[in-house]
Amino acid sequence: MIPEIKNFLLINWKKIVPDYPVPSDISFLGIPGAGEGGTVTFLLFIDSKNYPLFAIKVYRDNYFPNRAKTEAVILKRLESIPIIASNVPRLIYKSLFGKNRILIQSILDGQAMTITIGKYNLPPSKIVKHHFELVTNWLIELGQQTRHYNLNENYFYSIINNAKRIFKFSEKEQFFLIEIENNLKNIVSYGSVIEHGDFCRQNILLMDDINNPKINIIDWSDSKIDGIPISDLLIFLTTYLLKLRKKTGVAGLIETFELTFFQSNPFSTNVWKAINNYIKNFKILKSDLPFLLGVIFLNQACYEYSKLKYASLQGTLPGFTLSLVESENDSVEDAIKRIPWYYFFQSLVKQYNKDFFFSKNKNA
Amino acid sequence: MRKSLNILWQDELLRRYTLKQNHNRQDFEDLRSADWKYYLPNSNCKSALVFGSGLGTVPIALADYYKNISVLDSDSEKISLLKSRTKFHPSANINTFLKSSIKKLPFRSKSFDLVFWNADNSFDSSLSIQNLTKHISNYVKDDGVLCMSLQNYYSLVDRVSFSSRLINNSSIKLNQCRSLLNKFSFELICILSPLPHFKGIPLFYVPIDNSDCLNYFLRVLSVRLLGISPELKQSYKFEYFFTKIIIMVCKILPLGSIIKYFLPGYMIIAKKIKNDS
Repeated sequence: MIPEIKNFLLINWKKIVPDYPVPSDISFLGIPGAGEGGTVTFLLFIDSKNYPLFAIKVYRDNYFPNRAKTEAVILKRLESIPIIASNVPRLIYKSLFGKNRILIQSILDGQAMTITIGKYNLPPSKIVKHHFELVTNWLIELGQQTRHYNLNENYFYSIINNAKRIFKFSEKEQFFLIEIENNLKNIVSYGSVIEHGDFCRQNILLMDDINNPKINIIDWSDSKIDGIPISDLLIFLTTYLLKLRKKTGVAGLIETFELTFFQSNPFSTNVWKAINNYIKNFKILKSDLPFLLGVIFLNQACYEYSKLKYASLQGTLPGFTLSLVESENDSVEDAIKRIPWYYFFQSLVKQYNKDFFFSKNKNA
Repeated sequence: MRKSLNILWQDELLRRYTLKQNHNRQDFEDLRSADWKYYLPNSNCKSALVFGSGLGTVPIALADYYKNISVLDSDSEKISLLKSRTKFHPSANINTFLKSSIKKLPFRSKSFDLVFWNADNSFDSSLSIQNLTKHISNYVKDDGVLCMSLQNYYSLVDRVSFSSRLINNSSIKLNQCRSLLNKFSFELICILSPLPHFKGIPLFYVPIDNSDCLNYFLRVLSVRLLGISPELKQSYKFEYFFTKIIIMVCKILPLGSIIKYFLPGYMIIAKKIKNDS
């Protein structure tokens, strides 16, 4: 495919990249990314430039054709919002090569948001606070600029019913699902926002200029036009420490989730500050927060499951799922249901008591 | 007798895959295991010849594009593994051949659109890289593609972990590539270094013939390699550790002089120049 793309680019160079002269040669640096992401990115280098000119994102297959289309629509939409446009990739070109859809996007500056584990197995509070403030403020801005009221109760019912078909729920979890259904009116009233869908550290590039620190956000493959408010922030906070955990498998996931949200420590204090800041801006009632979190986790779990199910039918699976097949001694059918978001939902229900959420949100 | 870590790893994978096949369970691969395929042309894909079945990943990935695939291996166990894996890919048209040598093969010259040399094979260990290229390139059609997955001759890690036999047979010096291919009427498309290891699941394909790409990888992207999940770190403990050291060393010392010792292998993709005679 790359030789065909290269020929295509060289022939159409002036139309696609009018600012640069036609190069004598093009090289492609490939980044397969996370398997479950479903895309491979190639950074394009021309002549003797020591930075890539743009990125070509290839969707691995055509099972989710709307993903590429939605990403293209959302990038175009964000390009028209001045305050957001400079922080997201600009869509340069979209096309179909053989079976694969491709999007050509601009390159954003910045270093991936990294963090190390320090004292008491926690990251340094000062850096965490800085990261969380940048992210929360940016997400509030994105939410305010893209807020609509397009979601209805049926959308949330379909998430819950879909989850019931795929996963098994205990009695307490089923009761929690009923509570979500009882609160859908309020949840719907918070509206919808453009959602990135995979708002994790790896997709956030940090520009740490002392006078003007900012973040750039890459990889909008899982984005949604009508996403649930606070979803991106929740994904960011939940996954912030996930890749730094020492313990592998399901036990490691749950331990990190509880450390992030439910244990009393400086890190979780920063987590709740970020949540409070967000819900204050969107006037989300603290009593609705657990149900909002629950439905977001289920939505993520169902989406991941659909991707894994499809991949498994093709004879392939992401490395993480394969490692679960080994570590948990699962069948593949069971392993593709072992989705971190499902465990986070279970953990949320286990920890759920109204007093806890009220105490964490007393300043909201 | 000392057996290399890497060969043990391959043996273990083969054992596990075979066990699954015996229990009639479908095997699953990491989604990213064959992303090199995007670097190959996807037009004029009629026939492909693969030297070395490996665990079946290469022929099965090529079956998405190529109508007919011929696979040669000297190991009957690997051939039967591939046969059983193709059961799960009914549309794949894969023919297997058990051959101990690549010298006399039942194919006409210039009869394949793609010839793929998989580093995971044990053909004719006495052949030099020049002779090996001469033999396999003969089967590539004019305008067809040769893809060779080879170890880096200078790689320190392979010198430690591979037997000397394999180093001599299936390895190449970077500065040799272009002249070698020109000699057999090929023009280079690209030389990739799949990192962290060309036999594992690459997280990056760095075009090694472009120093700007390599520098950018070390300066900007390498940090992503350090941020992989603990499960992946555990699966590729050795490669992960080694790559971490490469990145650290290359950031401190001048890159050009030392990088050749740290790259485990190359994937060379070249196109045969049309010969009117």
